[in-house]
Amino acid sequence: MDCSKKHKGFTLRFLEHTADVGIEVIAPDKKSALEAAGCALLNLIIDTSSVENKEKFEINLGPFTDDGDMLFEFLNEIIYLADAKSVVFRSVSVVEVSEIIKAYLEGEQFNPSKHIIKEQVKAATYHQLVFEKIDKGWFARVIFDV
Amino acid sequence: MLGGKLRKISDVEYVLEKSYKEGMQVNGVIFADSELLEQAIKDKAIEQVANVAFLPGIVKASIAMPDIHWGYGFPIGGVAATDPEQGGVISPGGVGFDISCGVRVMRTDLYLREVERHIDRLVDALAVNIPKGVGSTGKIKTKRKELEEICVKGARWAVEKGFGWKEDLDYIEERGTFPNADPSKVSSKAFERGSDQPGTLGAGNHFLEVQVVEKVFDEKVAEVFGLFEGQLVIMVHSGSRGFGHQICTDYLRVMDAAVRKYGFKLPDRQLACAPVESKEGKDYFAAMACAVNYALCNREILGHWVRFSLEQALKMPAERMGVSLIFDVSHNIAKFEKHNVDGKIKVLCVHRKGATRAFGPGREDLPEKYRKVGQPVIIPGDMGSASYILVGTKEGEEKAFASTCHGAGRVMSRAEAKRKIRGSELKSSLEARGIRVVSGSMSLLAEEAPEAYKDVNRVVDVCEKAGLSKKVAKLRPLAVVKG
Repeated sequence: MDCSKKHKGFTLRFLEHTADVGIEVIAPDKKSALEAAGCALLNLIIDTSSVENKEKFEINLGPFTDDGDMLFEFLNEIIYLADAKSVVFRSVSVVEVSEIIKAYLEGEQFNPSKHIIKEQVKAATYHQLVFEKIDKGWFARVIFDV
Repeated sequence: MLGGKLRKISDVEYVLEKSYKEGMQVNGVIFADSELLEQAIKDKAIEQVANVAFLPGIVKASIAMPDIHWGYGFPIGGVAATDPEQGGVISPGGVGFDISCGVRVMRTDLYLREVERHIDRLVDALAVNIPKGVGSTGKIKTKRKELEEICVKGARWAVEKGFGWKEDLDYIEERGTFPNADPSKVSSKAFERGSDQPGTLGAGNHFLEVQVVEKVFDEKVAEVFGLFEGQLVIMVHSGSRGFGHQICTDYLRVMDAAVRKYGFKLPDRQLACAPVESKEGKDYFAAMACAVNYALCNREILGHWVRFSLEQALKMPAERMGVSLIFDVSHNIAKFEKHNVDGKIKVLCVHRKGATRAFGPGREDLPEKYRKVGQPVIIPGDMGSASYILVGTKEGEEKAFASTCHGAGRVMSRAEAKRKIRGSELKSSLEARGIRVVSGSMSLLAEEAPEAYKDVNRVVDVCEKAGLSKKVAKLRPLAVVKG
């Protein structure tokens, strides 16, 4: 999923809290809900249209205690990669969701003269965390520590 | 109010009865005046005070400071002490992601009037010498072995490498080295994130300020702290950076599993915890201690760049300018401390999340110089108004496990601040008031606008009226350096 583009069939809402920021996502299925939540996180950090897909990173995670834990782990893995490797991302693609997640992130090295960081995101939290199947597809809610 | 369960004790103290929610083990105690209380209720932070009261082994009360605001799990401005002998727990959420986020103030012998013409040069030097911003990497690249040394030695590592003075260590909480750190309890991911961040300010609400002592409230204590009106001082606010964030993230998962293992019933998953004496609890404490040491080392290195910048700008050795550390104290931490519980002295695990330790006079833990008057407490305000130096009290030890506020406390969400305030306009308006601003990001600057915070003067006044701490000096910002 190219995070710089709008995608049909998805709903995204940013939640305002006094100190932190949250997101709510509705997507047609579990895989795309993970991608949409990942994109929401990336767009919190940076204008993803300013990022070029020059490097690819593979994510392999799992097993998880439950779906909430899956979302928590997935988003925190993105935060870890961005910080540890000093990269910014534009695209998220989840290729497998079962007891494990296999996904790819694409982006480039952070360049302060090219990329403007909108928000420092420290972590995804368990607070008010929801990742569940609903009538319309899958619903995710995450509060980030910023 | 709150179903009639909130009882007014005084103009600055309220009790939330434990019958407010089934499962609360103790009452909530909120130190606030009517206006700050109203903000906290509106913000739903009081619900979080109630939720913290569910923690197994919590003693006395779930306590909120006047700068309380909504957090995730714990409120920001929350204090909770648990008794390890009674199955008391330790919770990473009660410390926060930015483990040992804290502040230090460095004094000088200089009057502002003597050096005013050099302030721009000083700010320019700080802007160059202080690594700052999101993902900022420092001038110090550390290999795994050195990071492990930092984990164990804390600020002492920095001093041994020449980034700081030996005498600084006496004026850092725990003499610069937090005990019981075990790097084997820290993940490779955390080490990876921490490898090039020692000696970096970071972003968000972290900052460095050049300030002047505007007013001294207590001459006797100010003299002991080395403070006088018109004096140039520097304040540094930073933490354990990505290293600490990753440790918190890693152990939240461990604690999430522990909650199920020990059969705890908690109203919020982010309150995940384990008994202090369990393997999970001990492992977290040992890893958290590494992050505390990382933060203490980080601020010591930043202090070194402050001295270096002062020397560059004023062309004088730091020793001749009397650049020394008043104190360095964390406001996101869990510590074992002795406190009086129902007439008995007990060792408790005290969580302070957005709250500052404020020991009164006589505590052996304090440097000898401060033992007679109490611990210096450093309160960073917002960048447009003021910061404070307070001193801890005996009364605060009894009422709030020796804790007081940690800042002004947010009142406006980051998004709202960005909508209402433009970073560039804010910079211009602060500069028109004589406050120079150096910021890597105008967007992040807008989030930290003075309007986004409560009135710090009101917050410290409530702390004083409640007996938690006393005002010693008020500091006015001259220049702000932010990520």
